[in-house]
Amino acid sequence: MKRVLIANRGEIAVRVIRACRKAGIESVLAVSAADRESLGALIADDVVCVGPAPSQKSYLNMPALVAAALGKGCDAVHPGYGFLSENAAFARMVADNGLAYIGPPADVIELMGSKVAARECAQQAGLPVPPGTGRILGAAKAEAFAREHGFPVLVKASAGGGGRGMRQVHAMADLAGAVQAAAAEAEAAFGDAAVFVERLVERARHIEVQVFADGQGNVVHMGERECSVQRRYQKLIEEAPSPILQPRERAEICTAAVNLARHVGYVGAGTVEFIYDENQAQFYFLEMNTRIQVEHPVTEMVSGIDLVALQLSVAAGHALGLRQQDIALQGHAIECRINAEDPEHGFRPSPGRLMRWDAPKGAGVRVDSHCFSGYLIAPHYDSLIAKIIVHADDREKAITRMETSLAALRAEGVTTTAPMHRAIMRHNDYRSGAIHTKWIEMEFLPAWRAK
Amino acid sequence: MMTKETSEVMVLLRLFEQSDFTALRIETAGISLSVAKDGGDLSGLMAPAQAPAPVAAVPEPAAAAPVPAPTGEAPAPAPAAAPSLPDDGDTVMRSPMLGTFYRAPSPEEPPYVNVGDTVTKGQILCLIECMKLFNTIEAETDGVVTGVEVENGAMVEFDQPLIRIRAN
Repeated sequence: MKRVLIANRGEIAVRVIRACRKAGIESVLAVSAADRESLGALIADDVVCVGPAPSQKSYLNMPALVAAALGKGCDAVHPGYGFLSENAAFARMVADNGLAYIGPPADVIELMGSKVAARECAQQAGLPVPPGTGRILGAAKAEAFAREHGFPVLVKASAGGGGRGMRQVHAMADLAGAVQAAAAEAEAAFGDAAVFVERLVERARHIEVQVFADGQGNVVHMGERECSVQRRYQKLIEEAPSPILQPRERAEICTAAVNLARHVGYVGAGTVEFIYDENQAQFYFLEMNTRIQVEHPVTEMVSGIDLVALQLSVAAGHALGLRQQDIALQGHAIECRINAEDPEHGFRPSPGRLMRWDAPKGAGVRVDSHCFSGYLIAPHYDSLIAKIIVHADDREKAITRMETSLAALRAEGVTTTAPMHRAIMRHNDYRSGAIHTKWIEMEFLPAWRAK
Repeated sequence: MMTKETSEVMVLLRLFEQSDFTALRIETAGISLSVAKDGGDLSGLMAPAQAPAPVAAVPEPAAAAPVPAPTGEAPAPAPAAAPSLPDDGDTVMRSPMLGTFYRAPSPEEPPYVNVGDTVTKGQILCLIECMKLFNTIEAETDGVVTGVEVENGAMVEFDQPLIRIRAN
């Protein structure tokens, strides 16, 4: 592998370019017309403009991206996260054109992309799944399931993700309507109206396991991350290790993740997500993400492993070179996602020019960002502008370090979520680890807005 | 029988003759042409090494044939940012997409347009191919083609200048 096309933007493009440089691989960044002046475009070895600002015509334009990779003499494509990173058709097109796709095989992306198929795979691999139906069309089977298992239930799109095509239902009277609405949303978003129904775990925690496989029989995990601080299924804060898992549970959940990765013939970096029912001390398979994730630095901080470098190495055909016993996790890491959004006004996006950008620095502090003073945050894309990641000996020290780092961040010209993160770091519920996936919406935000 | 190239040269010569210019030098993919009249001097026009002939029309071998879909071999790197051309009033036709630039409908056929051709709005100027899908680029205005900015078969980026037209 000599030359990699990076089919992404923002901080992950910068992250992949730097990993390429460290590995002695040339990087070619695909940019939209709006990103010609981006940090990634500045530091990449070469840049190619694949289309106009709207993602549909640039970062989601599969033929243009593959033609750019071929035209620029690349031998591999890194999809980053978001955009085409879990698109089986793109992975297939990349491979069919003789390029290495830095990720799992297209068939595995496809399998895990179907929530129903993924659920069946997880069951076959011995992972616990919440009680639920298979793929259904129409409300009759949903109602039969709810009569047997009771409420609340969750109606989910089979092809779904990111909370789209998902509905919580608490009473029989609402179920048929919710199935219909979720199916319509799923049809519009994914072109597949099929849904399924699961028993909803209330006050659940989100715990996920980083796995890595080389396609040569080696599969390892790098421990778990807890990502229960979410708003509308979008993660805001991630940490490792989880503050509540006991060693026996940790071993179980990590082994389960490795079993699934092995069962589906996984290759590269992947994440197996679970919901954890704290009251029952029971975890259930949620889904598998077949890409590098936004929150991967948390795992890097506690494991000392460069996951993106490992992705490049495995995609180049090298064996993992890591056994499970070689992986030691140390201390505690937390990541806050800083978005250009206004949390006091419904998290509305706040694009514009960053008049000043000074990121915190120091021992145990890492900032992954594509920002600089004078950078114009384009309105076309995701609002993530930086990830602040801290590492310390224990969770309490990590929280203190995060508070200090957030206080040192200077972002002027746009409204960011940084002040909200500071308030979370000071909140007793967060400090004691008494959080769940609805905590932000149900408990934190109403009180924070009232103050 | 006249080839397309020689007929284009004739058109150019006629335009030159009617113009106030006394010297003209043109080089495109298919043609290299140096002419002077009324004691015009070609030496100031980045003239080639050989002495300028009063009238010399030298058709070169036919333009490189379009290659098939990208093969994985890297052609000459294209510039990252869309290069800005001096604003001389010409209409610059830019590529609406990333792809491979072709001047002719097929390798056997002559280019759609050459420098000096008169074009009408809507006339096909070139093709951009992306993963075997061919898109035609049509003239935005009536005028004369004053420049072809890309080599036949090269990769072009989104928004890259392709062809310049001077409005009539």
